[in-house]
Amino acid sequence: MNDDEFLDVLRAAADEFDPVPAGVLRDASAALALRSLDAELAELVEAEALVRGDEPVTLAFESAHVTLNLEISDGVVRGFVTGAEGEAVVETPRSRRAVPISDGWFTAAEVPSGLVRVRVTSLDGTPVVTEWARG
Amino acid sequence: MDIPASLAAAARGDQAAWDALVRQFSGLLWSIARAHRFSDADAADAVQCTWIKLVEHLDGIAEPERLAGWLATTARHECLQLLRRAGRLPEPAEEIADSPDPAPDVDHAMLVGERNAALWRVFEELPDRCRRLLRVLMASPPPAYAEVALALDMPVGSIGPIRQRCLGRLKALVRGNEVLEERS
Repeated sequence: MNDDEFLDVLRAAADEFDPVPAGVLRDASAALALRSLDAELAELVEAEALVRGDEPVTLAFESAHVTLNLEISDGVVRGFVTGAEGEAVVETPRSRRAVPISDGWFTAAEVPSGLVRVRVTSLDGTPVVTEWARG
Repeated sequence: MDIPASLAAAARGDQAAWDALVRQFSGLLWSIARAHRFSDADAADAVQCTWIKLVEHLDGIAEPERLAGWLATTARHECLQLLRRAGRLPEPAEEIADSPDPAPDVDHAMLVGERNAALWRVFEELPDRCRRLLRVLMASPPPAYAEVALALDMPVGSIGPIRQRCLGRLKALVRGNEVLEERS
């Protein structure tokens, strides 16, 4: 058996013993619905380098209308936003929570770990959403 | 499959086109996560994050014909971020020496049917660098070397020679395994 044939046998073994779980395919399919066509994107401009897992993550985002800073630690997302008011919606792929913005500050607790993004409405009414970032 | 066309359709919100991309590339993304020795949950997280990043960049893929490479690179970054978050840094790659003897041949009859299970156990005994490369090469459908190189941050030209050495190591393990060695 040559190397290509051997690799084909290995591929069959991988398909049998380590297939892509059905739930992973379902989540991937559902990801298209997370698309955000209506909103201005606030891009990640700064992320504090992480060496250890127990430090808070700090992230800075900017769009034409707003700047947004996030600190994520133990499922708590604390944010400071300029150029927006009203509510901040803290989203993960499986959850969303609206919290009030008070003097620029907002806090959302019990946010599931993994990716997170925040939606706000700028002072002139433009919807803005941050890029996804890992909390 | 026409990947640029599927990507363009998915960018217009075509769920069927998106699902076709998911079917085409999930095997590659899963293999990359597994190559990093992630558990089911962490591997699922890394794959899901990669797809979400693609959703976010659906209009911004500069070279749609190289989507597989973009996904492989993104998946590697997601895996490294997860490792850093967990306080685990990737281990330095060890050198893969040639097998002491020329790799013995392995015949197909040894490896059919239930022996796949024994083969899978033997595969897990490989040195990490071999396991990592072969796990990605084992993805369905088979990835191009260019994508494997991006997934593992290896020079494209090194993949063929390392593949050969690692398959040689695996064949040597197979020859030493009672279940696989026994003939029916």
